[in-house]
Amino acid sequence: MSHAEEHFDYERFNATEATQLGSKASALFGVSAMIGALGLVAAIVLGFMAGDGFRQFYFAYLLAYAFVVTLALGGLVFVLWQHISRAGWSITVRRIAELLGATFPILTVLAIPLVVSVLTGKPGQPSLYRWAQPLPVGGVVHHDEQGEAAHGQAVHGETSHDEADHGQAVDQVPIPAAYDGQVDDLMLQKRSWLNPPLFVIRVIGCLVLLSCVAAFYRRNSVRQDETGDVALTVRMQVATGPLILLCGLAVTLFSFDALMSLDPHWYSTMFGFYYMSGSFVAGFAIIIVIANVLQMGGFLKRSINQEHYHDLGKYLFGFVFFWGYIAFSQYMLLWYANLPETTAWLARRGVSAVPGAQNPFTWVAVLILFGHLLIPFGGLLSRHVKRKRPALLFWAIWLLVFHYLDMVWLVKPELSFINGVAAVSEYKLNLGLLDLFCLLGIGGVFVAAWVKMAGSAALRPLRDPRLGDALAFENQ
Amino acid sequence: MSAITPNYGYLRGSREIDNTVDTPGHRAALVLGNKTFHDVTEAIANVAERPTTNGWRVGFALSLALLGMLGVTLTYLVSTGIGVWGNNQPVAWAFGIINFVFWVGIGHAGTLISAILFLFRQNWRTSINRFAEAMTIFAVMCAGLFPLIHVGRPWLAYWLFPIPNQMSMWPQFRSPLLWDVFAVSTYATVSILFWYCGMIPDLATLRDRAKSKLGQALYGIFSLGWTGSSRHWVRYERMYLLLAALATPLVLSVHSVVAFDFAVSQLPGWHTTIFPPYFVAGAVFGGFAMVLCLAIPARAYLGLRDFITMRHLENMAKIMLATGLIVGYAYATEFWTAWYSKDHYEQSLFLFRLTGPYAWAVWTMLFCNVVAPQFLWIKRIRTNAWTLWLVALFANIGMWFERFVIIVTSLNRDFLPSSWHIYWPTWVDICMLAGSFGLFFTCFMLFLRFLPVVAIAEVKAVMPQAHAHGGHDGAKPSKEDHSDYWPEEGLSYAQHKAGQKK
Repeated sequence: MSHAEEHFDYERFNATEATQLGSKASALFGVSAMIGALGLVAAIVLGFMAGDGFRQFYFAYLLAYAFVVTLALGGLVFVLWQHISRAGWSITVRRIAELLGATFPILTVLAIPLVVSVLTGKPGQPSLYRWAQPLPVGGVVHHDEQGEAAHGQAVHGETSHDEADHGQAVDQVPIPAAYDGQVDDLMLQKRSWLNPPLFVIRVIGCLVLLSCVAAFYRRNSVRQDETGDVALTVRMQVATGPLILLCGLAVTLFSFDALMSLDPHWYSTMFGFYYMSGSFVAGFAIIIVIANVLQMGGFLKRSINQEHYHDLGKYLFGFVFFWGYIAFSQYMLLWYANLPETTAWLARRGVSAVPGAQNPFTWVAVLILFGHLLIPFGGLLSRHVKRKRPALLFWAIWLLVFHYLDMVWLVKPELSFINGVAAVSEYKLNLGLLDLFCLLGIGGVFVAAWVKMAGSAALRPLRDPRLGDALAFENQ
Repeated sequence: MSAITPNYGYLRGSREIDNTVDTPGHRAALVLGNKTFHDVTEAIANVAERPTTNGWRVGFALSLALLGMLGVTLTYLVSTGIGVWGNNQPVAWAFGIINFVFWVGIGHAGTLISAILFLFRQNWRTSINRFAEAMTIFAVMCAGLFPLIHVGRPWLAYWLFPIPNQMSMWPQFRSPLLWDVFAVSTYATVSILFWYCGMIPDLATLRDRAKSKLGQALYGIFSLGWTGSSRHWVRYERMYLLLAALATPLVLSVHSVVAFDFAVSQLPGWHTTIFPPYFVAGAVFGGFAMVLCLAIPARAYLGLRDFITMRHLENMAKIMLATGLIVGYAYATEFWTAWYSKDHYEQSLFLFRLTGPYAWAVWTMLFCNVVAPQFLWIKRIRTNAWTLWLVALFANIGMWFERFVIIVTSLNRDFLPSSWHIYWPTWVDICMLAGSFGLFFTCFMLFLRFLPVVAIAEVKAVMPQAHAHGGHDGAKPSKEDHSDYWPEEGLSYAQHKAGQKK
């Protein structure tokens, strides 16, 4: 047995506070599961009533889903980050994050509507992803050949490749009228990546990988509660390096597939980082919220103290800044180069200097700029704010709200893209009851899963060898 | 074996003490050899106080010779004109900008170690931060030289600054090249401040120990009347924290702005949104590689193995591995996106890189930056000074070639095939690159000779003696369990002292 165990009386310290959810778990689980189920049913009913082949439902669902995934992801990344840096300070809040990550199996199941939407596409009736419609017969072969030919040609004149391709495509194989402007040559060329079976394999594969990683950490951490075995910490630590790499790749693929491909033309090498940086913000925010809620409920009163909130607040502040850096860099580079195929994505999101090209998303963008970056940057700057629980809780909730708005900005504009003919100024926000129900549905299931798992073990590691570090450290 | 490291053996097949073992709940000793505070002062001050060694003379002479070559080629360049370089149309940016980006990148490790690792409470930074910060400043000096001469008429370079003038001429504020002027000069200023302010207590130590009149006078002037009173320390630490907070965004901003130089353009291979974070990761990768390349021989030669221990080297190796993987991720994303975007220009550029006349440079880059760091997954390679040095050397070479690839392969294929032009450097280009190493190493050798190469005061703060007193009351665990600084198995400070006496 280790030295720490000899000197630090785990039993005595663990007895000084409530570390088990106990009976509260089942009550909370019942309520949140009920809200989740009702929300999902209401959303499906509303979606059906819309009579648009579930198109609005799918967009609302993806919005809520992408948001909730960032919460779980933020938790998982926190756990990985603590293990790879052999951190001691964070032990008392680490279980909260482990449980967030451990919801990935449920989130994998909740990806079913996305899978259904890509597998049930009808020609000319895009539901969620435009590229997911069945294609004109013969289109793929022809266009792949053309794609091959393009490899050989280096540079040909000044015309944008978009127009050049389209011209050729119309000359050779007309796209049937049934597609009504929803399918174009570029999408056909991308068929080797953006096609329903591969999409399902990639998305589900990534989610399963994240589920396994999260389960690994939760399992070993909970096992240590009983055995106090130091070797478990070493095992988790050693695995972290390769697992961070795998998770990074999985999140990148997931964000490219689930969000970037909403506009099959658009691409940004930064997009994976963008989604990740948002999830870091969301992760720290939700950890702060949960820690507060638990302490208000009388749990972990002694082990989570001002110092932990201060450190979580520092991270939250740091990643607000980091998100701003990533978001600014992506936006500025697209704006500066002003290439039509990439600025179209910004234009649909209302970010345009062209008079009259603004739409409701312009306001969302401005709100995000202030609410996701400038205002919380100022708000979280002070040491006192980070050390005062109510103030920090306020900013954590604030950032969750604006992070949701960021997801709105990413997802919703594509809903107005019908037949590719509507002017961007006619784009609508399309936020409504459906989105609320989807958020309540997925969020309810997410909370229920968290509570269920939280009830099955302690709310913090009970015998982690670095627990002493976490209790004794102070911010000077 | 010393009492302070009771459980540490030696690394297999070497004389290095293995403090890389990690027992959760304990923190490894960061200073080996059972040292008292006085021993620390002696060991580090000795580097600056001992008589000049022949080894140092040889190193300094070689550096000075290279610096002389820089002076000669610089004179030749300025008196003749930029035509003596290999630059052409369309490759108007060549060695001048490659070397600039290379050196700015090298300069990143210093601030990362001194600012970001400080905020993250990484105590191991204390042994290497002085060293890395000095390297940062010299690297930024080398970096600043190249754009200065690249403008062609360096005597007009002050036009880059927004100075009111009779001609009503203003710089182009929308150009990232101008942002560079601000980003790099801010970075240089803050780095110098950080380095110098951090050194004040140690300069005072050297002042108090100096025997020559000149030494007393110079160290005396630069230690700004430091007495080591508690009031001085309080202000000093407040300043250090504030500077660290200010320097942290600078670590991101400098190389991001350098990345903007390329990424704002519409040029295939340059215009890609991942450039800013990817450049920062690459800079940290190259910066740590340079720290390792210098620290491994220096710690052996200067007798600092007990301060820059194998654990320090291994930690740096891990950061290199992590940032190297981010660089690999960025390469992969760029290649994948070129394919996914179906943008013909982008696709043909990436094919050109892999198969064209510069393919050798591209494959060198991929080997050095993506393949070589993978060896760092293996602990035996990480904890062997020789193999680690070799991997770090590869990383340095790879990072120079990365800039070569980005600049030359993208530029030499213009949109109009009639403008295509191959680029090769001339002897002047190559001599100036070598000469910039002369400038770097001359400064570095002087630093090693006259200044405290390890932060004496900061290292003492992470030794167990600094935390011997003051426990925690109530239900908080006793000091022994706060294992941050206390590597010994269950010994109190009194027991530890008793052990020392035996």
